[in-house]
Amino acid sequence: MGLLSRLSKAQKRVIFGRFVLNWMPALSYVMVAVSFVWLLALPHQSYSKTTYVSENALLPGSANVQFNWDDNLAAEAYRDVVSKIAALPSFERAEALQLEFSKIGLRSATQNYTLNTSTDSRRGVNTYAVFYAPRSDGTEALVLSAPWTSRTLDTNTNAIAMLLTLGKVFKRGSHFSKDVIFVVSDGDAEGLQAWLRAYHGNEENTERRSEETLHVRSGAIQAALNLDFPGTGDYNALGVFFEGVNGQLPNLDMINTISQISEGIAPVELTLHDELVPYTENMTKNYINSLKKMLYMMKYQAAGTPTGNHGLYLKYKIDAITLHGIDRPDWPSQRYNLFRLGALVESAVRSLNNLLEHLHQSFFFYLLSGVKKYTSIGLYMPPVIILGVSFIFQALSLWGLSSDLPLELEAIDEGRKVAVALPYSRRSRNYKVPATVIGMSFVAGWASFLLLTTGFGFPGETPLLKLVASTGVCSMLIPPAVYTARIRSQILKSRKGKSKKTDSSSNETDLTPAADWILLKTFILALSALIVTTLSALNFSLAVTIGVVIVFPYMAFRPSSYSIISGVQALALMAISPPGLLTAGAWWYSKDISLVLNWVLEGYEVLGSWLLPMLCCIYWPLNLAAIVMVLLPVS
Amino acid sequence: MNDGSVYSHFQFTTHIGAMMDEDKFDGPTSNLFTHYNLFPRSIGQILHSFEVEELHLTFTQGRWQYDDWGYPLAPSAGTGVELWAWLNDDKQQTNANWKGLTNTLSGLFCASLNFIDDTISIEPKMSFRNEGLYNVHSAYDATNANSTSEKTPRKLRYGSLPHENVCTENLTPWIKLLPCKSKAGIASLLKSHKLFDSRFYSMAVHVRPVCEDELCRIKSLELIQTITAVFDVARRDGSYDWTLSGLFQRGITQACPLASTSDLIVHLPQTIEHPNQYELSPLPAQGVHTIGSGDDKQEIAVYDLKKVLGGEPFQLSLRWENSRPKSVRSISPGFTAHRYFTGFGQERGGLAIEIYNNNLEDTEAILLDTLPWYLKLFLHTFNVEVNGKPLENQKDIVKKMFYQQAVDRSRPAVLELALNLPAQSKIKFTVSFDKVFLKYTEHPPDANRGFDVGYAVVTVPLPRQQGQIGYGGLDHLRIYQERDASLVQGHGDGDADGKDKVRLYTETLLVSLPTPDFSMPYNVITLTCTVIALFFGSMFNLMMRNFVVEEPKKTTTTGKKKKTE
Repeated sequence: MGLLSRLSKAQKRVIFGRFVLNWMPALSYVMVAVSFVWLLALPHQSYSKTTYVSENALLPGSANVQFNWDDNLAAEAYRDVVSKIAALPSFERAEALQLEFSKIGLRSATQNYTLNTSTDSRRGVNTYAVFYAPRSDGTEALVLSAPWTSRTLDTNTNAIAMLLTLGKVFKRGSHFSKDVIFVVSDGDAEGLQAWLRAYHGNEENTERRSEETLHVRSGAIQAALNLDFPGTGDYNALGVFFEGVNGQLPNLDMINTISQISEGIAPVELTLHDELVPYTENMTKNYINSLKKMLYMMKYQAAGTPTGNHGLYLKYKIDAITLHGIDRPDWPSQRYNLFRLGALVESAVRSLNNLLEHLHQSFFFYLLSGVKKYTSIGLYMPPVIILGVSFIFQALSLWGLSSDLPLELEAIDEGRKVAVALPYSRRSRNYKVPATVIGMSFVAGWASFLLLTTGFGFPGETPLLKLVASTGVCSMLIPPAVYTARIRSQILKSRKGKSKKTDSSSNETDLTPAADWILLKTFILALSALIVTTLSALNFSLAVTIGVVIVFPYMAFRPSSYSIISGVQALALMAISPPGLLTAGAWWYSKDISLVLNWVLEGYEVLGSWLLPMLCCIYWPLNLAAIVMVLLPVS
Repeated sequence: MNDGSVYSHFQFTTHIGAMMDEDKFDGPTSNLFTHYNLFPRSIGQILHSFEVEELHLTFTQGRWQYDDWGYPLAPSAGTGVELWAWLNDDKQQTNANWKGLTNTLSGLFCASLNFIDDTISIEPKMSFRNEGLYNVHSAYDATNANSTSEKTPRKLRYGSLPHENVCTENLTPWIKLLPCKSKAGIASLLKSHKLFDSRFYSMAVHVRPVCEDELCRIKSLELIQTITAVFDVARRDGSYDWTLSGLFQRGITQACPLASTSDLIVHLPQTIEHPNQYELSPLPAQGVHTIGSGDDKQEIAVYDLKKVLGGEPFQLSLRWENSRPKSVRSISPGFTAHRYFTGFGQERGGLAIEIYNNNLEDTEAILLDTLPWYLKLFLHTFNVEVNGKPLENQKDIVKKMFYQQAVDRSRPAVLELALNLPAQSKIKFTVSFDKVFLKYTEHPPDANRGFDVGYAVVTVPLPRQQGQIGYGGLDHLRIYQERDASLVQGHGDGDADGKDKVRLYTETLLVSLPTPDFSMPYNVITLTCTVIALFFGSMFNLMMRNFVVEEPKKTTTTGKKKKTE
């Protein structure tokens, strides 16, 4: 205290500047380490809490279940009906199912839709039916949906049979306060999307997409359950899928309700996604298990493509999850039939029916490391923020390097030498190269995005070809940028040499502007920090993935006087560029590159996922700029 | 009805003040209420003190399924509570009277009618015309120069509460208005336990002035009480059979001795192709009547309870062959209307109203929609679509438009349209709005549920006796009662060309406005309280405590220190 207070303000600044220059790079690496350790600690049992039902109105499993053995028989009968119908073409199939719904006494209808993407054209017919709750005002509704094709690519026979049976069961009672809408959607996800768009009055009738207006409606949808029970057999366990488009998550109470019911009134083994874990004594305390589960969740969330049709509801502020019947005949566990599942789904609907308000109590931001283990946003946000701040620190230290620190300008004051800080930097910064590189790379990124998403109608046009073209566009940017910058620095050098000769009095050699790469790297790091932190609030998993991938290359890489090192760095950066990642992903899942690319394109065009625009328009430009950066001259 | 439901409708009519002379009659003022007889005094006093000329109050729970059930017999079917009244505006105290009326009725029927305040009360310009005597008068006005309506200026007030639940507490005061209570007559069937286990339930009180003879020399005030319930008999076991005692868990043992008529009318199912699918027992003594003709033919069985009952509880049952009908004439209502919100999110939204005209001729109709002030309508976004195609010239459909701009926290937006519905068409109106960010105290309990927005009302003229289950208007029952046939003429809401005006009620809707996190204020309160407590405590301590430097020499006691202070 005493020492500091006696130092002048300028001296303090000098000390701070020195500290920044000397310690900040090291500090930022320490922060990266802290953030990594923290991230890895998230699945640990001492970090995650046990879930609890936060919304008191839900009262999961407290209502008596009406689903009885007769209904089970009815469900089995419907199963045969559905398997018979399923073989029909789309339109006849939907009509036949509509007839089944109207036989129960539900008001039902069908909806045609067409969707043209840049690669293909999809058309189909949805069937939907509404159970009008007796004596209710019909302002609120719940949705039970099932796609015709399950995520296992089998026919979703059991789920559709279940919808029909539940329609029958609900019709018997007079205790519902909300309508129940049954939706059987055609196609992959576009069917349900077409239905949801039309339900919210957003139906279009254009060349690209056309959705038929709905003829039967109900009130505002409060929550939805998507059923995915493939085939006609029994199941070993029930998997919960909950990640939506762009990593949006449903209210945690949805999962809590199901898990509570599955432990009480309808005992069923519940798991996250379709991963079964062999039973062990202390399985909840097993760190590796939790880590695995959390990584699965983060993988699905980062991809931004929903893991089931439930993901489409979230955009409309409808909380939804998918229940998926996991069928592993060789798995040593009890198997559950439609009777048990029917009771579970009915009880869940009854629970949601109890809601007085829209689900708002529990968490919307969470990481799950088990069905009953969650990590809340307060615990998982710090590591990614620390990661973002480490980028900023690195950028700041580089920024400082490009100014004329150390500013040991001395003045004589009362016979003492005192350091004086100037209120400005005498060393000018040259923004021409970094600004042009960043600007051009963003233009290239946008161009590649447009290239990928536009259909030109050339013969033999495939997404893969377009990707190659856009990679070409992007990589074309690198050599001119690098060579122009090199030539420019040569010119500057020679000019400086000349000026030195003519004006020998000025010896401020260190006042020449800092090398171009320093400023460029500063910009890259600052932008990376911006992206990682902003994204962490929108899609945490994607932010973490991007942060982890780019943190070392962007922070550590710098131009080297050995061109081999620069070359290796450039290659490493190319490996983490979108085409590189795509290839890596395709190799990892041993799939064709064009398949993976199609999946990404479909995510954007059908579901409106931001992964492709994000990669092309934000991630790729920075990557390009980084490649240019490592190839720039050292001084 | 076609889906196996049984529709039951109770109607009780009480008259007061017969033998009034026309020239003496100047609205329901003092001389009318001198002698009550069977007319409930509680209603009479309300009418008298608030200068009410016509009163219509309906409590409804559930939605009337127009597509499945046709039109209801009861004139109102909007979910929740609907109250409208014509008030005498002699002393220009309509607003005060309306307020008094809502508050008093609120007490009388144990309902939250007092919430019908200025922010939701409206004055429709074209819908909800008066149904009583004055219609007759205005008909006379065309010939007679002296206009009674000028003599007594009247004002209409209309309000509805879409989210009001209806239950036993409302039924009990309603039953109390009946002369025989629920002790005798058909009213003895009114058991709340069964009535409220139905798919649709509606009860109403209508008061209107009527004429007792053709020339309208004798006038009286008519009180009509109705209860409408739709039972789902097929719910339990899929059987469409029903018995009177099964429906109501009670039987009728005697007719109300005070009633002049006490009839029970059964609309027989309109089967096609297979004539004898069902059996009604016992058959009425007079046999089965047929009303209407052609496609609109409707068979009815009338039981005069005064004659039928003889000590034994009256048993009535209808049994189907194989407990389900093979084929029944389908119901296809000529007009249906639906309304829904479009868009998502809490910032803006849209409203869509669809009106279907399945008839073969163009029809005039009136659409009335009331929207609460917190939805800011943009009238320039008002669009009309006919059969899915946007209409360029809106005048083709919208003949007249009355729009009342909403005023924040004081009155709702009203959109009233006089329409011309082309034959066999679907008209869709869309309009978009912004959602207001309310003050946090303005949110109701369970704020995240959202706000209920009441129904829109479409008034369409329908030819009399369209053979549906029924259609609105209070006079429908008179077609069964030949002795009253003369009174039907020129009465009620009908036009001269024998058309009844039917009101179609659309769905009520739920709108979710931007809702603050209500746990936040409490967090803030606790936090600020803690901070203030700490701050106040330490500041108080600093200011009030006297710091005294204690000299090391003077090792005094505390008592002495106090003295120095």
